Amino acid sequence: MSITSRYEVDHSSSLAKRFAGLATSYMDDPGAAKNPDAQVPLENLFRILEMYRYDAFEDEERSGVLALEGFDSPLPIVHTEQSPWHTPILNALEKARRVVFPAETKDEVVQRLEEGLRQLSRNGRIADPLAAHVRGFFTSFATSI
Amino acid sequence: MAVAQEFLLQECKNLRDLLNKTLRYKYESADSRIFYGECSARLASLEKAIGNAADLAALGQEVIYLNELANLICRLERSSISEHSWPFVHELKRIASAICTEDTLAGANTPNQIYVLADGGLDTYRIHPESRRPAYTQKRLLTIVFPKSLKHFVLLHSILGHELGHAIWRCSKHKREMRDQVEKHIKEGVFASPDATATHIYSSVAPLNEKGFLKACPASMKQGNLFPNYANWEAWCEEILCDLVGLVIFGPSFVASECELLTSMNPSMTGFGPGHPPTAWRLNYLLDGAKILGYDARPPDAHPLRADIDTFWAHLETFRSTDPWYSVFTGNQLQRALSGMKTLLSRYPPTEYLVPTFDRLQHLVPMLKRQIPPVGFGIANDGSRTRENVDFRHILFSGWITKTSQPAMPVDIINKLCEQAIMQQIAINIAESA
Repeated sequence: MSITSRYEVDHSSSLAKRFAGLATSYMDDPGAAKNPDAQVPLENLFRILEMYRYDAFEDEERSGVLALEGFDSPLPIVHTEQSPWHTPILNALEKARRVVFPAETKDEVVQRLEEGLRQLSRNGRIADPLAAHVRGFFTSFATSI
Repeated sequence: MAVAQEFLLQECKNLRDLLNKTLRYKYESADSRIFYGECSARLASLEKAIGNAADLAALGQEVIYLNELANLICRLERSSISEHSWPFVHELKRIASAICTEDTLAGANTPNQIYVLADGGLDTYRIHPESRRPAYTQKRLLTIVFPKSLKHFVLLHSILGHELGHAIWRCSKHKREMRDQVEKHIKEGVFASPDATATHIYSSVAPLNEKGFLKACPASMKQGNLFPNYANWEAWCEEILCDLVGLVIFGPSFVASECELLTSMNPSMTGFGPGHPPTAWRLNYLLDGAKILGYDARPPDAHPLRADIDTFWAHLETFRSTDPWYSVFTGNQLQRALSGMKTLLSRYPPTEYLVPTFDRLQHLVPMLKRQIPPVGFGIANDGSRTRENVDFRHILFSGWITKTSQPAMPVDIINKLCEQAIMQQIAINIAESA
């Protein structure tokens, strides 16, 4: 038996906020942006944008194709959750999009932000005028999440 | 704060030592480098986060990820390359790498990094994609789990087509298309709603054995609370789609492996599970789906394989439950759903199963019957050697045909010959491309 236990809490929102803050800080520090450990926050932001693009946030676990299952659990198998893990992230993405890219479609916004992240990861900087938009988006995202 | 932080930073150093001592051997060298690089990136990022943690709450969050990383490194260290069928894995990886992809910083269609594990018995078949939630990860790992006890039983490994379905479902870029298939084609009739499915399950015309199953379930389980209290209807819908994906990826071998494995886990074929629809429903729609896709095509009467192919499909039909209650989809529904899946999978070759010619099967099956690994190699009438690229799924199909044909051959021998054939075919393909 484990020496301790605790309720699992989802940390997705706080990590997303932290990663967005790091991404904006990398824009002022090209050396840090190209550092291998910077790829982790940048890749996470890219992955969030892909989930946003395809409405693909749901991620329920499924058991294996032959997993033995029974109904002997005393608790209902589906528990009531306050809200899905991604609600704060999705709301913050929508808000940042309204603020920074009010006239563009979701696909266009995602493509531009992804291009910005790729430039940052590869070159340590983002070309203007995209840089201002990327900075504005992730600043707004980090503030509102 | 300082004590906890210091302790966790020391643990980061310990993990780096562990990482440097591990992943040294037993992987293909390219894989080893990638796993090492990924773990190093995760560790460096975590170490920085721990060093910069603003408060105890932040530190408490990082310790969870640190533990997960330690577990991952230890799991990767236990290479099980000698415990699973690596020729089958080689081919499965080709499919998974083609379709289980994401757009990433590195570019479009970046494949997930695959890790293979052998563990446990029959019920361990699994493909586990790493979560897409924010975490200290760069590459996404895809862990494929084989039953350790079935190392050489490559014919049964076709069932991993179903698990590939779940992995594809969890790729952001495919999710919308997969979900659309379920919404447009699966959610009709018996699956129009959770209520409609529960009504069918509790129908007065349900077979007696199914009524008996319901009686044996907890007394509190009723038609009105089956979904969501005792079973997950959305999970059932996903499982159905994944069965259809498995069919489109592995063809007849997938139907045969589901028939054998599902009925070995549930010999009476009665009932259902919280996350899976009734076994007998699944086998019925798979048998129907195979017909719709033309997988059950027969050669002309005079063809030497006609009797063997007839016997194979007749054997699979013995797994069909004939009561109409077990047929939950119309032919039209299945046709549309399968067509949607083929459209998606055909965009990522070699994912889609392509029906072999009867000449191809006539080349493979007799070889197997002579206990020769069935590969794309032969000696022509003029004595010259012929080499052909044979899809490993056609080798598996020839194995299933041989399994039900006469004279009977031991099933472990058939599996080993097919496994050797897959390995030899890889070598032939390398020689052909050189």
